[in-house]
Amino acid sequence: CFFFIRLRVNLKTRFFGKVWTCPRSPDFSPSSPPLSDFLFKFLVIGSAGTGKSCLLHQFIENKFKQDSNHTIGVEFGSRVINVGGKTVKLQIWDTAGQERFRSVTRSYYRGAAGALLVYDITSRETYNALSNWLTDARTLASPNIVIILCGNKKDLDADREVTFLEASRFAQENELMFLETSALTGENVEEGFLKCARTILNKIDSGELDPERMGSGIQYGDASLRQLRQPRGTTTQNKQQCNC
Amino acid sequence: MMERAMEQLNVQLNRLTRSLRRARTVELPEDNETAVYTLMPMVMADQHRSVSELLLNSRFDVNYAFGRVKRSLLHIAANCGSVECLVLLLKKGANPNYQDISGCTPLHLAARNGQKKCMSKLLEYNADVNICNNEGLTAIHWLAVNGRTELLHDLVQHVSNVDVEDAMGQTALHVACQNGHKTTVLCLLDSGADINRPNVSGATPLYFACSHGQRDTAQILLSRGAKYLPDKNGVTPLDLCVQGGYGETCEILIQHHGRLFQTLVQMTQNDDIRENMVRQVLEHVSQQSDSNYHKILSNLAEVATTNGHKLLSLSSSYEAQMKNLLRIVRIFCHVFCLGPSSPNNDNDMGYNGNKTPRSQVFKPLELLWHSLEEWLVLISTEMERNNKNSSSNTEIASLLFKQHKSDCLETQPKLSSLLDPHIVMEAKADGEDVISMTANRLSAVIQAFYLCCSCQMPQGMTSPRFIEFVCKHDEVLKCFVTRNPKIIFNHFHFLLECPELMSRFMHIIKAQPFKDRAEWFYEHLLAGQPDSGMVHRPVSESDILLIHRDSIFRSSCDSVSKSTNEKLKQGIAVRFHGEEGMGQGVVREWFDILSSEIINPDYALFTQSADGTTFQPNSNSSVNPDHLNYFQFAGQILGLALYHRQLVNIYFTRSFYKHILGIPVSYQDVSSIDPEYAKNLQWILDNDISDLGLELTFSVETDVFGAMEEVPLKAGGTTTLVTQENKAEYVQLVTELRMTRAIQPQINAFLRGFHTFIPPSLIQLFDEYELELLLSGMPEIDVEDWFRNTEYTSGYSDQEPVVQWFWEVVKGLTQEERILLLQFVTGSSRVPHGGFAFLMGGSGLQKFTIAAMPYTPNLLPTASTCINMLKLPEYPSLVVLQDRLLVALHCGSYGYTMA
Repeated sequence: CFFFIRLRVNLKTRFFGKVWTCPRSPDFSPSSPPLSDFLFKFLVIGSAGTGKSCLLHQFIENKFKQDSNHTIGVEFGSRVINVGGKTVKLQIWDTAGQERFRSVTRSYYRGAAGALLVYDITSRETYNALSNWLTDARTLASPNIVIILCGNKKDLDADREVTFLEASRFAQENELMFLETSALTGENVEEGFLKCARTILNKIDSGELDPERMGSGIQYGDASLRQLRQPRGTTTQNKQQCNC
Repeated sequence: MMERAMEQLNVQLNRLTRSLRRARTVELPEDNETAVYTLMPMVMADQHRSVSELLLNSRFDVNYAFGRVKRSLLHIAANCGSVECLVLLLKKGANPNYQDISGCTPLHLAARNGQKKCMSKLLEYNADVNICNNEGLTAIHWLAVNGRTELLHDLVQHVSNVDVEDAMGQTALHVACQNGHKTTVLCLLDSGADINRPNVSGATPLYFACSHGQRDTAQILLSRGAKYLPDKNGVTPLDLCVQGGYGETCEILIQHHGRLFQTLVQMTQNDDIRENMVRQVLEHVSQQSDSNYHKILSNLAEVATTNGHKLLSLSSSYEAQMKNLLRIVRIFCHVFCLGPSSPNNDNDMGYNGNKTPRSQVFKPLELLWHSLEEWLVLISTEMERNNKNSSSNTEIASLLFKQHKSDCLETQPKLSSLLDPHIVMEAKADGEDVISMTANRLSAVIQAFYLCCSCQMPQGMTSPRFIEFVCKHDEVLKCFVTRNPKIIFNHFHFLLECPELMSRFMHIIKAQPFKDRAEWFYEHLLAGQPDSGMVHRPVSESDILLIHRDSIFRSSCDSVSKSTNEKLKQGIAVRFHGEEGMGQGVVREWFDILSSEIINPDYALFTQSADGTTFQPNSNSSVNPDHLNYFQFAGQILGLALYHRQLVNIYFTRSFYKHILGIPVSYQDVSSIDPEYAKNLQWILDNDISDLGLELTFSVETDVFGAMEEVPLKAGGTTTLVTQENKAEYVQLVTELRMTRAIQPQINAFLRGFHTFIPPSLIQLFDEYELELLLSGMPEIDVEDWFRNTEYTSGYSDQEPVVQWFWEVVKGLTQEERILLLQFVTGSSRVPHGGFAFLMGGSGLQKFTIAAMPYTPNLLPTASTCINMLKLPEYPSLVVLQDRLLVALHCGSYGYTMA
């Protein structure tokens, strides 16, 4: 019987000599579920009170922000959208329109791939300030920045001070896309962001924009990282290797 | 009959002799159970002749299963590699595929233990290689887990499916990868194993290799075209590598999938992964090539910048985003400091501005620093604006806002709706709010900025750029910390490293609770030391301080001087000569008895003060020629005790604590060495001396070795008369002469020792009272005894409501606050031996006294420490009394100088 016991012990040590466990179940959750192919940095700019934060809120939450205060400095939000079969994560920086924050918000411009330039159709003043905002964006952000002009508060048509025609002429002269939006009803809000993103994607496809370049405001998203395509050729090459 | 009997006897005799000769039985017992235990040891030792002999004439069932796991003898033979017995048993008809209770066949056991011959024999006898045990494991799993490539090679010829799965869906390839058996993996792949086979949770062989950091195996798999696939939870092989800190394996993954480089850098943002693991991985990858180094740092700088911008935006959560930013910046600085892999760049520390290529990696961060600057400028304009029209609308608006808030609290929602919401909103978005909403965010970014600045500087130097930055934004930063002092302790660590900046904030820091400062002090003092609580390091014999009890002072001095400061900082181990004991208790005892020994009058190092319980350096210590070395040693011991939070059994005079802190002494401190003289100084200050005809000059006569000598207090002092105008200066100079100049060399030597463990910049966080608490600890205070031994004057008695409130408040104080109160009134944290009845004053016993003062709003209690008197205003209520008393205690040192 003594031998028997020794045998058992013997077996045990041999048995557990090597790792024989499943890989530890991960104690962290993988990065947030909706995977994306690209990440674009977006700006929302324009004079105070034109409804920039409400546009962003409407875009992200799909509802109108009732008790909106002046933005302090810069806020941000993000949403994953689907454009032309690609998923794109928009990282949107919503800037304060008040003059006192101007120098702070300017420091956020660099490396933005797209921008929503917002004015209030019921306020001539905000429309007149557009060229200032435009100069800022063109000089401080990436030179290839894609800008869409948004005439917000479309729902207040009765109080309109800026006509659709003159704004669209302004947009044409400055090579901007143009839309009239309403953060209250949500009209054209989604379109504004989508249009801008689509244009950027087209520019990537045409090679005009290079996501690999730093400061382009574009990065590959996590989807392209999670399911990596095989480097071309490796599989076949190795098949041959196996056969020798 | 006879013959048969004889024959039987012969047979028995024959058996007996055979049995005796072989030292075992020669015939198997009848029943299988007994027989099998007879045979088992023989099988294990492969004594096949004996086994075959025993089996020859018996009716033993070779497939008899026994024991708890129900194995046959064939299992035993296969397991132990008894090949001859194995063959014998097989010939006797043992079933090669017999499964034990866990489903294992003899082949499984032979495979598990690598019994090559047994395996081939079993296969010869048609053992089935495809049988699974209860866990689904087959022989090839067993070979793969232990990396027995040669055997596997033979076995796979017989296997119909190398991808046979166990209960978890794992194939042999999975387990070989997990254990990193390179040749086994190659063999399995060559035999057609599925390289991308997922197990039940979706884990592929590459996933398994990465989960255990099997670098070479991962390399093989990737070069054979393994796909990079996440498991069913979306966890990728890279996630696993980083989580485990496997730098080499990560590097292999990146080599094959360049884009993972980005992911790796992005993972610094994931707070679920331990910081040191990500750092370890990035360290390794950055050291592979110069281009990796630069790429990682520039990418990290980008990530840090984005996170910094998010932190500066009010949309992010301050806590989470602040932690994220600081983690990324710490990793960035760490990798930066390692330097690029090529050694010729070593002397380029990058502090020549941003010209050198190495410091180029900081460039993306400039954007963040720029935003930070803009924010600070914005806030300073807001502050100006607030100051300008502080009396105008804004204040009204904020008043209204406050009103609005309190209304809400008092559940009067109707009222609040009457207020113009527009005004309330304006007030909210006002400058005040911009400051309070952004102060901690900006401060965290400042901390990050400091980290980046200082990692480009040689150790111990503050970056001129950062100093310039702080000076430029001085007002804003002061505004931040005044509003929210926590910011200092959370983010302004740079103050402790830059004395030139510390002085600007000192007054704010000193006003913070002692506890917070003590915490900050230790946090910084021990920064960089391995966490002694976490890792138990065995002490090497040579690092133990061996102390002789009969010469505590000398032997301690010897052994401490033999050790190095670094070792002493890491930890102290003390053993008394001839005693076994070691550990914290012994260390505590050592500090205790050594500190009493330091003040032993025999050494003449320290002298007792007038009150008999406190000590200060002896001006005549030079009778001991080595005295300055001893003072340095005493300083070291005190410093070491403070460093390791050990308490010492010495109480110094107030003035000596001030010397340690570098605070100028005051004439009141003189009372500790010469109370009469102190009273005279006080008198000079209190009275007009113009017409008294004292004819004092700025000089004193002292007895120097028996001869009277006139010592000038300042240049030309012997001819300068003391007047009503300059008497304060005279008192100060005379105080310094008595208190400081007389013992200057001793103080200097002591501080030399003390500062080896405690940097002066850190100790200055405290005042002399707090230093005493840090060094000597807090005594227990018996409130009952205190109450019994208290006297009342100027109209108070123990029947007065104010006095009763006072004791009620004292009973409710924490131990720490009681000590503060005692210090506030008596100047000492100690209760004399024997209790409050023996409390000493400037001249003899002086009980704790409470005196009345007329009450005016906001008046704080004051104290006269030389007569242990608390001057307690006649407060109208307990609440007011408690509030005022606590204010006085927590701003103790401040109030003291005012009194």
